[in-house]
Amino acid sequence: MMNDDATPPEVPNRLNEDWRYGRPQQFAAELAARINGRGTGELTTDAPAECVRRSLPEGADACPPSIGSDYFLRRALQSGGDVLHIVLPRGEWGTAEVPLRIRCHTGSFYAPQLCVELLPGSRAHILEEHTHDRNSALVCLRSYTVHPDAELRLELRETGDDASRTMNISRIQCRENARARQLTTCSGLAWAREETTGELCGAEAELLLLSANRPEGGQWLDQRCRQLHHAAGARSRALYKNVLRDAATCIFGGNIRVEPGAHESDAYLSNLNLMLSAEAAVHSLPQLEIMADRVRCSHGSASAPIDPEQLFYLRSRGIGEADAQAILADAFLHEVYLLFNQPRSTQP
Amino acid sequence: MSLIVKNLQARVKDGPVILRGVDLEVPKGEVHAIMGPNGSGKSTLSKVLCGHPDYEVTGGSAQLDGQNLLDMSPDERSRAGLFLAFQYPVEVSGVSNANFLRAALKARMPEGEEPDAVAFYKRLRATMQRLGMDPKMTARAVNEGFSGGEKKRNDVLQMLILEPTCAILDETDSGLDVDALRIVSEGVNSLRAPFRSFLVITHYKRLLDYIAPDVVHIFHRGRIVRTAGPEMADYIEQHGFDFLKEDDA
Repeated sequence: MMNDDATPPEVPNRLNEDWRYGRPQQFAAELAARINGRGTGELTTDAPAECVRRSLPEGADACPPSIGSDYFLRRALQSGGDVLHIVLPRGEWGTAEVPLRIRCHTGSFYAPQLCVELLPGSRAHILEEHTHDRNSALVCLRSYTVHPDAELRLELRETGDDASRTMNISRIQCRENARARQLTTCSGLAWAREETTGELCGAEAELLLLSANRPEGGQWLDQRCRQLHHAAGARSRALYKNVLRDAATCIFGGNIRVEPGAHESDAYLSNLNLMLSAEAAVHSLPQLEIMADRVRCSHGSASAPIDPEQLFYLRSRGIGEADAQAILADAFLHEVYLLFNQPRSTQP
Repeated sequence: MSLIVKNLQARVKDGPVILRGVDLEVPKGEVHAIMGPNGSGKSTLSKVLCGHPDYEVTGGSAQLDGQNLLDMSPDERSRAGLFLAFQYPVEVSGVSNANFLRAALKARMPEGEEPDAVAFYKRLRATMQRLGMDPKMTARAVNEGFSGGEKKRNDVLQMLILEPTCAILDETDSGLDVDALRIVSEGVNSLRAPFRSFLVITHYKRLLDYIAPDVVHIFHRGRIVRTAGPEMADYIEQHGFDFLKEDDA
């Protein structure tokens, strides 16, 4: 169950700019009020020591543009936590996972910043694990820059207990001919907000944003996703899938924005939800803003219970109702994992 | 006796009455065919016997080996030995054929036990080979992107793996070409045994040329109106169902 003092986020409103673009005042204000000096947590990595720095580069700002500019959030971050700056030079880092671990201690607030750069031509598979001890709150600013011809495969796994909350504010920037794909999963937390801004800044850049979650109990999962096409000829895909049980609530705000001059952009955004309970709720609002010509952009959203014919088919083979539901829920999310793992050339 | 149905009445939930008192006995070791014009309720009978949630039983009884089917959930009926080969097998995206069948076998085992993986795959591949199925289909999602004939073969594959004591085949022949019909029929015939019964629903005699029935029932307006030997299928093939108009009159 959610904490008594955790205010549920607003439900979507087409006219509410804060909702659309994710200025998370409520959560940040609450966190700021709880800060007393440094938060307690750990930010570690097994990346080679020569690649790791404990301060941000000169002039860098891990806070993504247009998102998280709220005063309280800035204050929280300034008072908060540690910084990790990783620079991966040209090389085949993709052959092994580069782990990044964030741990938020019991009863604490922690606000680390991650800044990761893949230099031109490098390839990396980064596994980012965020772990919450009991009743903790995490605000993490994540900035990934994928330089020309580099390729990033990024997996974010967030796990915690039902008294903890989290917010990830992320930016993934793809330069010319860069490729990035991100998979986020979040489990167990009372309240989770996951914002990702994907910026396509160079021609032929490609970005794939994926998310698969199974909120249950009274969990709130608040997802924001932006695909910003700055450069012509770039391609982006976003697929967010959730399986909801009990009285779980999902909010999804997705936005494809094609800037003037970003002609020949190709973008798709999809939010699909499988409802396993009549008490579960979904508020979904995908949007397009197109200011260029000759683009191919579309979006979709659908929320539905399990197909009764599929359920009956499984049960007619002797599979019990609960097991059949679990199999169909796994099957529903399967596409997300398939897309994350499949070779680049076969991506849709 | 294997399957005993008495005065079974059923309707679509909040909809029309379909079954109007079906009486049927299919002893072990026998194959019974049900033929009848479109819309007579044949497929509804198969779904009601298997517990499809769209239908509401309003009267009568149905027993399998002495067990009251109507008190059971669809999965309990399956585990009790009932199998339905669907007229339109359902596509289940994201679930491989192999995992689906393993889950179905596991459901029949004691809690905590699982089918032996090596033995399962060996048996699965051998059975698929008998049915002329591509072994790659083990990894494909259940019926997804399959042709009509492939779906029917897949249902028969499931039947051969699950080895029910009573199998209902609902228009399994539709969508099958001549060669596929022969292969699928051979698969069904391989399961014929003194302890097993079959109820074969079909419009055409061609299936019954391969799966020889012991008894043929004629279904009309939600109940069985004639019961005869295999020669009834020949009669239907030649004369159609016009004789049922006399019943209507």
